[in-house]
Amino acid sequence: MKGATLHADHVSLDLGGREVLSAVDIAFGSASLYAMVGPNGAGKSSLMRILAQVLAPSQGSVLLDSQRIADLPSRQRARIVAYLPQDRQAAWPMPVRELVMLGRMPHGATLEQAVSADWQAVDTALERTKVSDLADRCITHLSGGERARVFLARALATQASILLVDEPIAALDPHHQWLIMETLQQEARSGCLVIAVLHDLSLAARFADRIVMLDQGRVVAQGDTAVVLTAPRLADVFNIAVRVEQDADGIRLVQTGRVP
Amino acid sequence: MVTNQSRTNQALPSPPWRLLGLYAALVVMVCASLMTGAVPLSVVQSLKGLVGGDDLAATIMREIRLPRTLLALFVGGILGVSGAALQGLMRNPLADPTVFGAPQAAAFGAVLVLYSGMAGALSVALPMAAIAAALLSFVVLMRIIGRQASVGAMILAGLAIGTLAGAATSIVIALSANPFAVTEIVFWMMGSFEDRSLLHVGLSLPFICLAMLVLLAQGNGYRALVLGEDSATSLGIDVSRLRWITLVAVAMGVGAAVAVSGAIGFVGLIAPYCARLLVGVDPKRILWPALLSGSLLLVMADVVVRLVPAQAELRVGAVTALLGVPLFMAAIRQHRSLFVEGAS
Repeated sequence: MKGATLHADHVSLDLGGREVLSAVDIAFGSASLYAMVGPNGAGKSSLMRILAQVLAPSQGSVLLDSQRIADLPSRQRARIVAYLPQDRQAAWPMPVRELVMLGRMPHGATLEQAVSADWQAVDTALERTKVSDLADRCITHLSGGERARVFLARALATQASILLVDEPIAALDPHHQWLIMETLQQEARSGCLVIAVLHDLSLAARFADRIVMLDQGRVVAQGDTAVVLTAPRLADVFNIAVRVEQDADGIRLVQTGRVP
Repeated sequence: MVTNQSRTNQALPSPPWRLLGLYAALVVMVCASLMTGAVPLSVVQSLKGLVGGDDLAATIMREIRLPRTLLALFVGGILGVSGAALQGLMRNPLADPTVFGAPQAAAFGAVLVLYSGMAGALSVALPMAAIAAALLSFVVLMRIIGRQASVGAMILAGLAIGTLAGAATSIVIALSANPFAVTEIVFWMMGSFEDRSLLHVGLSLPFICLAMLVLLAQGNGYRALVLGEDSATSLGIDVSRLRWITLVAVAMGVGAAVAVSGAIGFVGLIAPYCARLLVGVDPKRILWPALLSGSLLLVMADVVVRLVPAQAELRVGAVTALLGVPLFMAAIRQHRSLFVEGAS
């Protein structure tokens, strides 16, 4: 079901009396890569958890193609929305291929009952994140960057039409950051809605189709990259001084300092 | 396609001969258990006694050795699979009903109905009370430690619950009108299959079997939990439901087991450990081997207690504790880092 859309419909979240999200209203269109940016504590991860139905909002709802996503059976929802949380854990030292196969669980595939299509999806996901050579290694024996790519492969293996990834490039070196951003962009080009929480504004500017900027639980700007990522706004929200340059591939951000 | 098939085989590294070895060992030990006792019986006499007749051999086999063997088999099985299930749920190799204080609580529940005169030793109220008390201990434990508990918090809370249940049990005994209660209960608390009848089997088996089936069916949930609760939820697993199903099933199984055999500790720690040596760490794949290992361990321990020459028969719970405590300490040593990192 490529071409799915997601709508955070006036979503608010209170945690322990603290307002984490306040009437967030964003319509995510299909076949696009959205970068969700904002300073630490802006509410990005909480919004992602709500979009993934891992956390229930205090108010508002999430609509999948204008249907309340909370009304969908959990297995069906899991086939449509794949989610990679910020906290990537592997409680037991499992082999990489078996871990990635967990991404096929929404399709009813288990290690015991997987069909060739499931193993094909797992192999493709491992290949796309360039971890095929690690397939038989144990997850706990990998470096932080390798693990990050394996976990992304797990999310890709679901072959969902909506992919929510929270800081997918946080532990990666520049080469692999670029590789993962290219992979996410390809997902979007193939008709998938990709929403990625990113701290690297330069990569967000380079790869994202649209930007959603959060600050203190509110949407401060959303839209095209060039419209949202302006020097005055970045100075205001992130307290950084930035030079915005235009080239053939879009805009490029050069951080020149911080706003005291 | 061929490549995929070969990879499929690679990804399932569970050599069947290892499980076959486990089955074979279990069959041998069950036979040994049926053949071991104060009265020497030949194989032919034992078999004849099992299937029919009304002579001494038949009485010994059907009234003494069969119930004892069946109880060791099923109590060991439920304790083993309960340990594996709790470890899958808590994502922690140190989780075990004993560490959580559940058997101690179940024993308190059983002692409460037994010595308050509410029910006899062969009443269904006994396992029900033990199950209720075990479940209550889990609820209290979960309320204390929360969902993302560190190992340290888990063990400390379990220790507190176990100690409290032990203290409450001793108070019930002290207030009991039966002067023999103290000796009787002290022996019972150490766990044994001595002098059990088919009535005990009938009393506990329905609960134990139901709990086993429920726990064995939760494998996919424990496997998804390898990635943490958020990822498991996003994969379509209802984590909250899984938690309650597991805790209720473990309480039911452990409660029923304790009601008929007393508190037998650490099987839930040793059995999954053995299962991991056989089939790897996958929380789903270890469930059945953990059940079999638990059965094997208890049947074996119950043969050992009958073979050791002693004034009073050794207690099977003492044997499992002798095996389990060193393993528990070794596991703590191996996972020392968890105590530092998981301090939240």
